[in-house]
Amino acid sequence: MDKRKEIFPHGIPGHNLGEIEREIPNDEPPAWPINDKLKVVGKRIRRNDALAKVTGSAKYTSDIQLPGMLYAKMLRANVPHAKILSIDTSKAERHPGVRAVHVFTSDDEGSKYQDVKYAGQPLAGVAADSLDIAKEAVALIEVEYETMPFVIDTEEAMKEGAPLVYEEPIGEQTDGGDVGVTHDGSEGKGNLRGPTTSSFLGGARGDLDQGFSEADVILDRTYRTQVHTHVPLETHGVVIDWKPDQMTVYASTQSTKGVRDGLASYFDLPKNKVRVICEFMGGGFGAKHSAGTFGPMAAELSRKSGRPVWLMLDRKEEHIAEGNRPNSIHHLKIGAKKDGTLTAIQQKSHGTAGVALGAGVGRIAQGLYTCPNFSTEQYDVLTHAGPGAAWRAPGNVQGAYGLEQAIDEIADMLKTDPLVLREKIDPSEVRKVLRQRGAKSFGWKYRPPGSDTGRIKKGIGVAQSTWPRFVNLDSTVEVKMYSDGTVEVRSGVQDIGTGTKTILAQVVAEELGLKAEDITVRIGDTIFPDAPGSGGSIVTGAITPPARNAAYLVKQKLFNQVAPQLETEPSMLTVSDGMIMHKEDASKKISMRDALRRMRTGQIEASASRSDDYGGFQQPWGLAYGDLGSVQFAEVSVDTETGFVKVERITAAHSCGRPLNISQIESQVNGGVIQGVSYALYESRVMDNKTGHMMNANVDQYRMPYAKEIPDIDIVLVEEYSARSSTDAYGIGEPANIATAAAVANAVYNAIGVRLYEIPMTPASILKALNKVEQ
Amino acid sequence: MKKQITVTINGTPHTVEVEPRMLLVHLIREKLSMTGTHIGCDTSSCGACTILINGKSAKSCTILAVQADGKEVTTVEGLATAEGLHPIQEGFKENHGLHCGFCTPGMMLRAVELLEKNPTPSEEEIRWGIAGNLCRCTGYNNIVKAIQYASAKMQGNELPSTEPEFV
Amino acid sequence: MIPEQFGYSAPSSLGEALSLLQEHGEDAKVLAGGHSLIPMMKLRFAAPTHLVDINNVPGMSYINEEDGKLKIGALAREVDLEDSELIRSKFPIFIDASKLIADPQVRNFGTVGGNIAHGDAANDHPAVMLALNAEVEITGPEGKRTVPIDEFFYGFYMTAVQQGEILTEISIPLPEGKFGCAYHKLERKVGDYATAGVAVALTVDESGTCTSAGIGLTNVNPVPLRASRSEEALVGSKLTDEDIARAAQFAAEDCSPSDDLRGDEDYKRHVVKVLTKRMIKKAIDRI
Repeated sequence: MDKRKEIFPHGIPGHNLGEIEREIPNDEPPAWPINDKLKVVGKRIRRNDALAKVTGSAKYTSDIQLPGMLYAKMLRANVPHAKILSIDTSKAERHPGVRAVHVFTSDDEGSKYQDVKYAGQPLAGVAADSLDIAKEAVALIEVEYETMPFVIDTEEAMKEGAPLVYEEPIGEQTDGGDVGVTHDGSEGKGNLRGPTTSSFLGGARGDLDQGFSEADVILDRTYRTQVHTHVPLETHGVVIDWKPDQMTVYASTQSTKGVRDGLASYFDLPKNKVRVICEFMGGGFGAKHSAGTFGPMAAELSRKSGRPVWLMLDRKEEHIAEGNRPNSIHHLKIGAKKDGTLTAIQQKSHGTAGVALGAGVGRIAQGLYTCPNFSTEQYDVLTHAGPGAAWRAPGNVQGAYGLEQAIDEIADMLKTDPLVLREKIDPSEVRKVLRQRGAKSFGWKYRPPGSDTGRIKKGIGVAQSTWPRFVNLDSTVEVKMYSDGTVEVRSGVQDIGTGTKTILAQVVAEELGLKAEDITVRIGDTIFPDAPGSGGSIVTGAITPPARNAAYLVKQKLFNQVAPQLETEPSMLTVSDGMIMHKEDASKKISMRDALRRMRTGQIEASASRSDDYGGFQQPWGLAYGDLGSVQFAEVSVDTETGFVKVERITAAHSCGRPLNISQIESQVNGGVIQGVSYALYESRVMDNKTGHMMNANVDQYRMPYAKEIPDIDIVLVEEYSARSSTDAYGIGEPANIATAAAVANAVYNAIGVRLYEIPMTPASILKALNKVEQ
Repeated sequence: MKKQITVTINGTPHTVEVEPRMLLVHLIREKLSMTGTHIGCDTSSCGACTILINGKSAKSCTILAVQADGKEVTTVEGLATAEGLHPIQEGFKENHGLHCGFCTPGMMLRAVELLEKNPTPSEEEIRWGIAGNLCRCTGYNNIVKAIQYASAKMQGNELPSTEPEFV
Repeated sequence: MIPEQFGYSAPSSLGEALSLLQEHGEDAKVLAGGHSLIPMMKLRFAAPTHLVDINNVPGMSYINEEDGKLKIGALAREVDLEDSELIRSKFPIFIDASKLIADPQVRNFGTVGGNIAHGDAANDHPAVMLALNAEVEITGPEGKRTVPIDEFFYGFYMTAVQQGEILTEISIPLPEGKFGCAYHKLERKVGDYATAGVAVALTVDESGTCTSAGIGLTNVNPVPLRASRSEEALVGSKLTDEDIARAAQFAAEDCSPSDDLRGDEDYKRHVVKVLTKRMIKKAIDRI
């Protein structure tokens, strides 16, 4: 492909903004200036999906009602570990109103059924005329179990002789998304798999012994985090209509492509015979990348009954079987010199994703700070509990909770302001700016731990994060312009709720000189070009450049048709405010609408796929240079009589390249912060180690914050231009969530002068830490 | 076992036969196919199914359909009128009061009653007022702004600007 | 959906309601606000075969003053307490409690009567009623009877309301002289059941000596608990910090909380102590 050179803005406005020359593909547009020179991009633009959502016309998967549709329910194992001797569905089949029954079987020799590995594992399903009937029929299925010993507790599972979850090596048992595991589950012994000793950031470096010998202070600590569950307000589920010519799947998913590929592979169907549609979905946070087990079940039931089948999980099923953030027992040994320089980081962690892998937490310790000597060992511990799934910055949230408290502790040992220590050890230029602007906005003034003397003690804390800039090249967008003036953007990409639809309209509108509301965006359907799942903060950086590029190409086609009419060359034309005009002669112009009306064809279109980053990738598979940084500041107050913690305010300083829609970014940060506050203070999956069942699998006892528990959230957004693509934009879903729990933990320590090494920090655990309650 | 009931939903009377065990939310969603009212939990905790019964906000997963016999029900589909969106809908639309949007109908209907009883609530009163509605995406702050916007609009006050230039 | 089938009647008079209860026997239940009963039925923790919905019975939603008593009808909702000027001016303890019960939608339907008739020590009104020395009027086929609150709670989900009877009214003696009352529960988040809750009602004479004290505890005992030793410690005292501390200590000692997701026993006793102290002080402030 022919290339040309273009000058791009580069750096941080107000700090080091400059220019850089990049070689770019000839079919991509010239650089945009920084946001204050743009009309649609970088502004507060209303969401283009809001009207459907506020009027109730938005159809979520659970709202889909098709003619002849059946309702399905799955039977789930009520024991955590067992061989299944028999499953008798005869009574269920005879139950009036039942139209199809399906039982999951095993391909393994010697056993008809898959072994049960966690309480809640799906075994069979029923489709019936109503959900009530399906539930009644499921209760009529008889299962004969040969129960086996099981283990739920992470540390118990690590012991020699603990009941094994798998006898054999296993592949990565995840449902897509990046979940922080690089070993294949074949290494290790018993339930202990791994260790992972390297990541895409590299492996061990330097000499640890040497590093520790150079240290003036050494911190040696273990930090613990809990398992918690995603709780999207809409549960997982599908409506599947399997017709001979095509399986149509309505899915509450964050990856239409992932669901399509999963079902095509499961049933050995060509990909074009599976159509997945997700126009609106009620939240996912990482857990909804695949068709799961409910997808194949609904498909089987639809095939057997010849009718569409609705299969949405209930809240309990959602908690126990559809993903969670693995826990962590995170050991950090860190050496530092008196001036703060880090000399060695030894990281070792264990965590359980239940029957799945993906509990690694070491990447942030590996990548956030300058330290010449580093090693990591990350173990997955298999337990008889529901599988973990990606959740907003997998591994990094747990990792940051440990690392950022450790850095705080070292600052304490060195009797220095933790913000000043980070200034010394953090090599990131953008985080330097985030610290400066964030601290100013927060009013950061270091105070020694336990400074307050009264009953209510206030404290402040800070924590940082990094998240890689991932780009998925399998990202394609089509832009069509019709002769009636309409413009349509099409892509298979789905909107998980963050506003993907709106930013697509913005970048296309900016390129075509139109308003965002002039652009119709059709996404969430696999009949449109493929695009990545909404995970890893990938979508914005992956999909907006091809959207702009496709709009640019279609604009060139229109210019080619318009130029002769205006007696000029296509290259002399430009667009602005709905007009096509000559760059130098203002009298030569035509409205976009008129130009489209005069086209020879009823429509023109172009599509574009994500090209490599300008200047190339750091890793050929799409790891971009730079990172998505954040620095978050928290202020808490602690009632030292009751142990009650209130997060008073958070300042969240973030960068995500070129911001596209300020309101949407702020809203994402708000959401990430409250999930972090909730992680720090409220949420925890509570398992009964004696029965293997989850004890709080509902929204009543599984505590999450409501509006009253929300701190003031102050957002500091820093524009950063790196000239890597035609939009230079990145997502913010993951970074928004990483640092919060650590910042809150540091603030609690600062308030009460005692550190808790485990979350959630409940009032009872705070009081224990204060020794107010006899042990 | 079935009972004949007449429920007026968004101004239209519906006479239907239901089992007493049918919850109002299922009547609305499944029997009458008005799917804007959502279900997010099984324990009356999330508020996604909030509707108005005779003007009072209610969790329709905790009310039997037979209890609504003879009552006036308002769902999200009934908020807008021929003149346009209800101020609360406008508030949510203008202020990014939603992400995935699944909690939005229930959140708005709760807010309608809140503003009916207290037309100019403080931020604190708004937060208490929506304490029965769970949102997992937005962090609630824009929801609070959306309700403040609706309050201002219903009072005929100057509206807060929703699209200031980025500085 | 509710798993089990059941019958349903919505009588329009109390007499009709009572005969329906009679007719359907021991598996019939009264449906008032329904916000405790229906969730339990959804979870199959309760499976009545017949519901007698008393919401159409007129004249049972009152909150008024009569014969030197505050009278609360069986169908008065939580929201009615919040909206009542009488309650706001004379019994702010109900505002304290009501504001912390579940959420606004639930309070639109949940009744005060149902909150105590449910017999759940995790509910908030039982402790308040204990502190205020309420009396409960129960109507049955034989007519009305009145039960002092101390004889109302029998055991886990069991009360003095017998098969075929309906709780029809709660009455509370209007305070004489200098009176103060307050309630608070510690909850992990708004709308949660109490980790522990404490209701306090006090009267003092002109000299500042405590002449009567009522203290009720929420969710720290199998049945709603009156903290009798704490009350005795206050009556006749000058309500000094030492008196208050002693009363708080007794409350912590005399309850018997169980470990659960909200905290362990020790923590809950500690919370009872802290809240008892705080609520006594708040009640004094309101005198």
